[in-house]
Amino acid sequence: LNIPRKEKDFQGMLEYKKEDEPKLIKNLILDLKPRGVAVNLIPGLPAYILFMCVRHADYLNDDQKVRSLLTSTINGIKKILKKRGDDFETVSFWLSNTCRFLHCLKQYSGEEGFMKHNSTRQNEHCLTNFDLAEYRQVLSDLAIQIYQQLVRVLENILQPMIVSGMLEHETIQGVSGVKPTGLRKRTSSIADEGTYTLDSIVRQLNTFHSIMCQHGTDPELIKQVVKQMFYIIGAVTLNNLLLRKDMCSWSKGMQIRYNVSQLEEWLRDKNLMNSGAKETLEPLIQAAQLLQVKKKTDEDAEAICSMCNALTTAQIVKVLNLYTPVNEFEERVLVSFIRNIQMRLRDRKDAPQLLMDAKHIFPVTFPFNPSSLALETIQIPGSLSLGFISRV
Amino acid sequence: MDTEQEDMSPETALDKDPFQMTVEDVYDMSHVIGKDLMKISKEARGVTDLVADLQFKIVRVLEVLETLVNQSSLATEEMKMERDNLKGELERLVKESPQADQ
Repeated sequence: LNIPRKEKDFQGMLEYKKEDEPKLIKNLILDLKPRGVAVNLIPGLPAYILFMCVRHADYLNDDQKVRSLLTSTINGIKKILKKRGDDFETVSFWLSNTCRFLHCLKQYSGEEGFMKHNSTRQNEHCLTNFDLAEYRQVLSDLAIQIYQQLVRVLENILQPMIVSGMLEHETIQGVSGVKPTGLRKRTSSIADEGTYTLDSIVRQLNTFHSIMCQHGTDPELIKQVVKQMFYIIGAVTLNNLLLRKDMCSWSKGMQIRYNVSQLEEWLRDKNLMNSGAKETLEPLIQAAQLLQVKKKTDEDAEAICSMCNALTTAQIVKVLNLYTPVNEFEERVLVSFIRNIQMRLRDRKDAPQLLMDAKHIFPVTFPFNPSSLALETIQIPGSLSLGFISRV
Repeated sequence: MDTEQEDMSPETALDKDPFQMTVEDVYDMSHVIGKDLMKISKEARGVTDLVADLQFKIVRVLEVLETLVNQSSLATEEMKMERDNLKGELERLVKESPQADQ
């Protein structure tokens, strides 16, 4: 016996009346919450819906409608980011949806280079009338802008935690006994008596990571965000070390190395060891090692010079100058030792730079990431209030 | 930004007491189920249509759940406020009333 198939096979397009375009932008972009049943179950759903609307306008060969929809979409995204641009969740949501929309425009462009991973059905869904390469460029620029905004937002959130959590808060009691923070303890609060701890930083990283995952952000993009976060943590910590005498001691070095190892464990936990995030901590790691090594003999000087290749001469000398012994077993660094180091590093052609640029943003890329999702199976969930558009 | 997210894993939403559930938990469930469905349709290409159909039925069910959870927590909240108001009112009356039965 044959069970009859659906009354109609859909082609994966969405139709709306021209006068409904503002309503479409309002409900799908301006009023859409970044957290909800439909967008959580199908990450990227707004992007797919928008693309399916583009497909129908392309199918109608209506260049006016295509142009108008794309312009309104871009303006809508800009508008919501202006209004809620300090909210990490909103910015992350629109970063991942803008990227997904861009991926769709490529995947279904009809250009062979973008069709390699398509199913035959997906290939039938390519645009037929318009070449939207110029709009892809505009969208890619928009995505870069959103990314920079995302970095600014997460920087504002992390900034007040870093010095307190990485440098000031003592997780190691005394000089010898290592007493871990209880990183795994679920009960400790984000701020320990009003101050941030390493634990607060790790929780914040967890929150950022979890939100991006829920938004279906491209894994390659998540890696870049994480690398940028680690860079900020490393740069702010190192800069403070270079500015504060009370931070340059053997035990602070120990503290920093412990904290860095916890951050590394977080990367391992999240499978992000190949993100380049760990490498951005290298200057800080070397500064921490510098605080711990012996600083007396000629051999010590030579060892320091070969170890600290990620620090500038100015930074090395500064740390040595600030170094403060914490107990009777340690000694001050002699001026002659510092001279020795300076002599050895004389031929190094490095920047006279002391502080790191904590505002530096690594250039972002959005590698093409096609999706296996079948457009013809997409339905419009009721909670999106898009009853005025229909499946074609 | 939230400070009170005790356990970050969205999976824990499924273990919650239904009466303690918030819409946030419903969204976490959506994410978890969505991930599973995506895995299925990636591994079994032939059944994509069936999975997709199921997917949107689940969206509907979760939308219903979202509405109910929202409504019930609103109702509880309203009742709590009403109760606190009445309590306050009662205390005020007791304080103000001349000690009639001395």
